[in-house]
Amino acid sequence: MASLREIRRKIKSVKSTEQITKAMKMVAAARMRRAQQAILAARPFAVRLDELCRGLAERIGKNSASDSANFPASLKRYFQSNSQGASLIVLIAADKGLCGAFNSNLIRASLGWMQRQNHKFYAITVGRKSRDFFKRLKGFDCEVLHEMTGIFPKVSFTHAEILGQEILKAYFEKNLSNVIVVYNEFKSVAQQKLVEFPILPIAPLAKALPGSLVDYEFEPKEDVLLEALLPRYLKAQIYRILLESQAAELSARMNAMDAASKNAKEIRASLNLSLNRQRQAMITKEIAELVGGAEALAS
Amino acid sequence: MAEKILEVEMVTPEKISFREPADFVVIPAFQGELGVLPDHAPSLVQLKVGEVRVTKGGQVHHFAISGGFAEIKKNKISLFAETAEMADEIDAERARQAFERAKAETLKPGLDPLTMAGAEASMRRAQIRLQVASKRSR
Repeated sequence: MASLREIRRKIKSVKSTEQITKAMKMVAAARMRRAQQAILAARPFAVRLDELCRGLAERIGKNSASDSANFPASLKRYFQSNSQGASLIVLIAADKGLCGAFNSNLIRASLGWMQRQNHKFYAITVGRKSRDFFKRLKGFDCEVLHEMTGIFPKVSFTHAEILGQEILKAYFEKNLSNVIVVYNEFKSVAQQKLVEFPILPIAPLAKALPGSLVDYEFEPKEDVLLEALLPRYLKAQIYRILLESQAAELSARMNAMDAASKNAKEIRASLNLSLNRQRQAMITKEIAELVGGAEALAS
Repeated sequence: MAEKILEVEMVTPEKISFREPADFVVIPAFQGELGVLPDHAPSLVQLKVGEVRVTKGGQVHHFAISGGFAEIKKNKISLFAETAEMADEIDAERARQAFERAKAETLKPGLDPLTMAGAEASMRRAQIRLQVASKRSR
């Protein structure tokens, strides 16, 4: 049985751990609230951009938004895959650990994706955990094109712009077949959903709302406009993905730290119990000795 | 006289940064500045890096925007830009530093065209911001 001093020391250390996890939980909770607000604030821009893209695509594609066959060549590439080309994976993980299965789920999913590739592929990493994973990776024919770290928990649109630029550059220069983004989506405070999102080529756009962009004047021409709009459209999507991942990470960390605080509390309670029991045992023993000594004297 | 009012809305990816009624708006369209009054024909216009002027009751607000789009509907104009800053928000000192830095970058010998273009773009952005910031007190 551990000595009293040892137990006291253990209690102290568990207590300080508990304080840290509690503080981390509270920080994560506060940041998560802000991250959720950022998602909401980003929505109008993305929604309107989506509407404009759909409307324009419909006009250019002769009234069928999904029919990219009528598009000029420079636009076609956004919608049509080059089946000979390699693929690119964009893995968006966290910068830090201590957030439950957040990072390991991502890594497991991307490993699964890699095993399905039968030739060389490219990667872009976001977050320190993602970068480290690709550094350790062996046995795959993989080239990391870009690394991005230290952007969480303060994602701004500038980050999305840089990332979008890199993705587009890779897509056109390396003549890739497709680009997939692996990230965690923020479903609710208690739940994150892993998503493998094919960002390029762009999935056929939904039909435009009736009456949108009718009788409009365009400056410059429609197809030139759409070509300038599509990169922005992608960047807005990437921005949303980064924000989602950020909120998901924070909520995962909040839950993990909540569980850790609860565990620490439990351990502390059981240590306290054994401390008290042992102290009581010692007191009883001392009394017994005292009584025994007194009796010996009396007799 | 039934007054026609133009509703101006500036949407950036991070937030809706400005939403006010106005009498007259000037936007930096792709082929030169474009003035928009109420009852303008509906159009979709690409914007370049430049200055937006919003006039309301004789008062002019200046904004620096970094490219994007404008959608003009009957009496509503929505500007989509990566950044939109009001004159009062601009840190003139920082803009000046950015300008100097970008200028020094463009003067470096043996620069590849891509970096050069990037530096020139940031120089232009800083210049616009400076220009807008200088109109703050007027």
